[in-house]
Parts: sequence; structure tokens; C-alpha cells
Amino acid sequence: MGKRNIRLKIIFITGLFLFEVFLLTFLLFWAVRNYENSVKLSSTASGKIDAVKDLQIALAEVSMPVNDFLIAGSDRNEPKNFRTVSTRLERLFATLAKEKITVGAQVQVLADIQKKYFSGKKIAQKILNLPDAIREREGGALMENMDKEFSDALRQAEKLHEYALRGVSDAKKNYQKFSSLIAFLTLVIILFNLFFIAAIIIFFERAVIAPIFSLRSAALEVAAGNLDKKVEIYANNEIGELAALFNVMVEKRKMAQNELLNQNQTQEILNDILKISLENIPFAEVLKKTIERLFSIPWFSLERRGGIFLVEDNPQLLTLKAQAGLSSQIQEMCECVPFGKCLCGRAAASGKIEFADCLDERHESTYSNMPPHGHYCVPIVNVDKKRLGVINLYLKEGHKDSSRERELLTAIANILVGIIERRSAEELREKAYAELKSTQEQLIQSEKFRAIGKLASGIAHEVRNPLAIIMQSADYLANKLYENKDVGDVASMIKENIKRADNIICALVDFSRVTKLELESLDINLLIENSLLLIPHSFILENIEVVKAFSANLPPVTADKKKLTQVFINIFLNAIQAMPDGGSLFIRTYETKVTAPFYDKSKDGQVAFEAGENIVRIEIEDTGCGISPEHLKLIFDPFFTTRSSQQGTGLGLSVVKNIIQMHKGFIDVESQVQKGTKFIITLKGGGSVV
Amino acid sequence: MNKRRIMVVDDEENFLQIVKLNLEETGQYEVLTLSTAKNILDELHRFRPDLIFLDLLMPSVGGIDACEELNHDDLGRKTPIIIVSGLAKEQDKLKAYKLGVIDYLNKPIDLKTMLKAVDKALGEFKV
Repeated sequence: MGKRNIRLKIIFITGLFLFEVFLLTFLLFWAVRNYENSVKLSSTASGKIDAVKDLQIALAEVSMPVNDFLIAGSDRNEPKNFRTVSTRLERLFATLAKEKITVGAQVQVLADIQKKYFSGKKIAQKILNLPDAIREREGGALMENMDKEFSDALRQAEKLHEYALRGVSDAKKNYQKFSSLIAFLTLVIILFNLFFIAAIIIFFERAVIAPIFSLRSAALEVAAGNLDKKVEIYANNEIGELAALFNVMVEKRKMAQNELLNQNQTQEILNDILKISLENIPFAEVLKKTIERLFSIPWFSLERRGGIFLVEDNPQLLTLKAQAGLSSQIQEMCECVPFGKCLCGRAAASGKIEFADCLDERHESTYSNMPPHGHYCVPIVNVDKKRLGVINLYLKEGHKDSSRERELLTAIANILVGIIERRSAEELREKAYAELKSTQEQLIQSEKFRAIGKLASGIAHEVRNPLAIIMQSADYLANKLYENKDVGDVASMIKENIKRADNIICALVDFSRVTKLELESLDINLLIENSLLLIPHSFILENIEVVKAFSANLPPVTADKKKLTQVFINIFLNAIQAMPDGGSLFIRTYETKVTAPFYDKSKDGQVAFEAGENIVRIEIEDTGCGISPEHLKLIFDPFFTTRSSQQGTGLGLSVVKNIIQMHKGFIDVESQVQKGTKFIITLKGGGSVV
Repeated sequence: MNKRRIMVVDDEENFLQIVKLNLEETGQYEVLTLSTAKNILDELHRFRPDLIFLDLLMPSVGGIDACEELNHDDLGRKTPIIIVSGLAKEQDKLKAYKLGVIDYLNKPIDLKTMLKAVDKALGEFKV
């Protein structure tokens, strides 16, 4: 359908209007002219009638002087009257011929009248010129001839009168006709113009104003933000085209806005996932939250099921690391997926998204009566094309593959690349840092011990010499004054205190002495039994009940017998001293397996146990006075003691910790004031000590 | 009855003094004290002790050097040596035993322990 040109239409309508105005105006002008002519003609016709009447009168009168002449005799006035009348007549002829009678037939009639008149006049003149003598005789005959001529002329004048009358009537008719025509034309002009103006208004209203108003209101709505607004297309013309263009523009704007909105939404999702990755939660939890975030995208109709696989030690195997909504059956079936198998394996192998809208032949991991569904399997591939894992999402059967969804999933996979690589770098760094810290602390510790050892050796030598002199001197005095009991007692006291001082020196030297472990396979239960037997008698209190709960299947532990014995004795002595009024000493041994990597709470560089390792636990618990939290932190520090100097050196537990650390073991303490204290020793079970 | 002769070598003058007093107080021993091991062989041959108490850590000539010197001497080899020391390295102890030292006593030592060691040493070496 060809497009109609509104400009041509306007020109055409305007032209038609002007033509109509011109035409009707012309017609009116013509009618007015004719009307005026008719009026003029009518007045001319009236004048003619008067003139013809004058002519008739004159013709009737013209014979009278002649008749009178004949009857009354030769009066002088008669010829004169005749001449007057005839002159008047002739003047009338001239006037009529010149101004009034112009039409052919009438001219002819006038000519006939003139002819008859002149013929009658000739006779009349003959009569008037008759001598009196013959007047009587000849006058009668001539008179008859003259009357005949004048009667003929009068008859013809009658005819002319009729003509004149008819002319007036015709003029009147014309005048009335044009008058009606003018009225009619005026009416037509008014009606036509009214019609045209109405038509033009309707045309402009329909073709221009209404569409422009519609466009304006639509533009206002669009400006206010309603991009769903469409302009109605009124006509197939320039304005219709404008409306269509406007609609296209709005549609484009809407698409651009939607595109922007999509990009914003995508950015928001990616931001959320990045935020999740920064949370202080385990990595599997980060992945799970990432999947759950995907479920909450309003425009992405996903089944609320999915998982993330990662490639771990085996570079051709996917391991399910996080899932949401998957049944235990599927979790078990898809725990490990080799590259190339099933949709996820294929995605990992090809590095491209695998899309399925139903359970097709690619869906290899399946079971009977598996409900129909589809998948997006999105590989997580780093810049070096290394496969890090796969995102697996469940779709409703018949879901349409969408480039927008693919773009989003690819972006998420890229974000996950960053998260996974950062996390593994962090893990490596943390591990390296922990190892470094541990080594550093061990170095510091051994350096500390070496320094203490040097100091202890110096002190031992320098202090023991004077002690030896005092000891010998006390003996000398006791021997010399043996009969004085008091001197003997004082000497004994001196010697006792020398021994005490020497004990401190011994402990200090033992503590700092870096000696090699003498390792052997030990039955820990037996070692504890023997250690109990070695507790000095002075410490054994009758009202302390020892409750043993030993595991019968405890594996042997590779350790230094003497040193472990010292550990147990030190802890037992500690427990006994914490129960001056008696109580219970519980000793438990058992074997267990480390479930999660086991780190030293005190973080002082003690070795951690890896998951899956066999360990032996020894728990020694008393029902004594307990240790306050502020003291509990310090109990393994050298020279820390809550007891009087006569009761301990403050080195016992420090030595214990040192020995356990030398065995790459771990000691922990729990205590509640007035309830008791529990020491928990963890040693590697069975295997040899590194 | 002849008194048994004991030679005590230690850099601590007071220790030498009190040990000499204590041992001689028993009435059984004649004691020679040396505050240095520099001239130990001369003194050995001059005094001819039945037993030597020797400190390990001494300035200039140490106990181990003195043991070695004595070991190179016939009389020295025959004379029992007991080490009396405040502190000794394990390897010095071992060296000393290898050089024929018969006992090792830790300072601070009381008279009773010292006399027991003397009895044991002299008893074993009694012909």
C-alpha cells in the first residue's frame, strides 16, 4: 500500500477550496453583472414605451390640422400646426432610431412607420397646398389617401408599442431571474464554504491534530518513564510514520534499558558472589551459598537443585564439593565424576557449557524412574585453560537454551575461577606460613633452651662449689660438736637446704639439657602403672583414689621411656598437690582417629595432626582446687608456680611440655576452679616418631 | 698404722681447707691439697698418695688434662682417682672413665658419701 502524502493532500484541499471560492465568486460576479444589465435594460424598455406612446399620439394628431384645414377652410394656423406636429414626430423618429429601436425587426417596423408617415405627409402637404378652389373637390380624395397612410403608420406604431411592451416584460423577467440566481449563488457559496471549512477542520483534526496530540501524550508518558506506552498509528502518512518511528525509538530505548537492567542484575549477582567469597566461612560453604544465590535470580527459572564440582589432586576427576537440594542418592552417584563422563564430565573435558533440556543420552549417571529434567553444566576454566571445576544446575524439562543465561553462567564461572585460585593460593600461603611460624618458634624455643642451658651450667658450677664447701663445713661442725644436739640439728638443716638448692640446679640443668630421645616401642598403660609406683612416698596420700580406665587395645607408642615417665610423674605430683584433702585421680587412655586437622590451641608451634591419623590420648584428671584462667595460660611457662618455693621449682610442667613437644605430641589442659584440672596428652599412635 | 694419703686437687681454696680438716679429723688420712694441677706429677712423686680427689673444671690445667698426665705416669696409673665436680659434660665424664677414674661424685658432697667412696676405693685397691 502506497504511502499517502499529507502535504499533497493539504495542497490539494487548499487548491480545491480556492478553486471553489474562485468559481463561485466568478459565478456570483457574472450573475450580478447580468442583474445589473437587466435592470438597465428594463429602464431602457420603459423609455421606449414612452417614446412609442409619444409617437402614436403624434401620429394620431398629425392628420388633425389637415382635417381641420379641409373642414374649416384655409386658416393660417393649420399648416403651421401640422408642421409643429410633424416636426415633433420626426424628432421622435430620430430619437427612436438613434437610441430606443435597435433590434432588427423593430427597426424595420420603425422604417415602415416612417415610410407611411412620409407618404401621408407628402399627401398632407399636397392638401395644405391645394388652392381653395379645388380643395373641396380634390381634397376629399387626397384626405382619404392621407388618412390611410397615417392609419397604416399608426397600426405599425401599435406593433412597435407591442414590441416595446414585450421588451419591458423580458427585461423584468431577466432581472428577476438574476436576482434569484444571486440569492442562490450566495447560499451556495455560504454552504460550500461552510462545508469546506468543516471538511478542512475534520481533516486537520483527524490527520494532524489528533495524531500529534496522541504523540504528545505518549511522549509525556515515556518521558515520565512508562516505556510500555505505544502511540496509536492513525494513518499511513508522515504523521503515522512519525508515530511508528516514535514507537520504534521507545522500543529501542526499552531494549537498551532492559539491557542495562540485565547488566546491572548480572553485576549485582557477581558482586554478591564476590561478597560471599570474602565471608569468613569454609570454602564449601562459599560454593553452596553461590549456588543458592543463583536460585534467587528472578528471571532465571532454575530448579532449586545444583552443585559445584572441583578438580582436586587428580586432574581428570571432578569431585562434588558443594550442593544444594540434591538427594543423597544423587550426591552419592555424582560424588566423583571422571572427565568425559555424563554432562559435567563432558563440560569439563570440552571446556564448553553443556546444555540439555531433557534426559538425553549424554546424561549417563542415571537411575530408574529418574524424574525428567535438564541441565546447564558450566566448566570453570582459568586463563591457562586449566579446568578447575564445573557448575551443575538443574532445569525443568523443555527449558530453552538462552544466550543471556549462558553469558551469566560464564561470568559466574569466571568469578569462581578467581575465588578458587585465590582460595588455593591462600591455603598454600597459610600452610607455608604455619610451617614457617612453627619452625621459627621451634628455633626460638631451642635457642631459648640453649641459652637457659648455658646459664644453668654456669650457675650449676658456680653455685655447687660454695654449696660443697658449706656442706663439708656443716659436717665438720657436726662432728666437732657432736655432743651438742642443737648443733647437729642445725647442721642437718643446713645440709637439707643445700640439697634443696641443688635440686633446683638439677631441675634447671635437666630442663635445659638438650638430649636425644631414646625411642622404643612402649605400652603406655604399663608405663603409667610404673610411673604411679615411682611417686615418692612422701606424696602418696591415703585418701586419694586412683581410677584407671585404660583401653585394652591401645597401640604401642614410640617414645622415650624415661622422659615419658618423668612426664607422668610430674603430672601426677601436680594432681596430688592440688588435692591436699584428698580426692580422685582419673587416668584414661584410648586410641582415636583425627577427624579434622588438629591445631594447637596455644599456637606456639606445636605440631598439628592431619585428618585420618591414628592418635593415642592420655587424660589425667584430678578433683583438686583447679587453676584460675589467668594462671592456666602460664602453667607451662618455666619457673611459673603457685606453690611455695619449698614445694616446687616451677619447672615440672614446663619440662612436661618440652618432652611432649620433643615427641611431636600435644598437651592441653582444662581446669575449673574448685572442681579440678584435666591434662590431655595426644601422641602419635603406632607409627614411629619423626 | 700408717695413715693413708689422699691428695685433693681443686681450685676452691675453702673447699680444700674444709675437706682436709674433715678427712684429717677422722685420724685415718693424711691429706695434701693442691689448688692447681700444674705440678701434679711432681707432687704425686713427692707425696705418693693412695687416692686422688680431682676436680674437673679448673683454670689452666683441667681435670681431664691432669688425668691424661697421670695416665702417662706409672705411679699415676696405679693411683685411684675420684672425680669431684659441680657439673661435667657427658663426654668429659666418659673421657675420665676411659682414663681410669674409678668414681664420680657430684658437688655438693657431704662427708659421709665422701668417706664411703674413699673406703670403697681404697678397699678395692688394697692388696
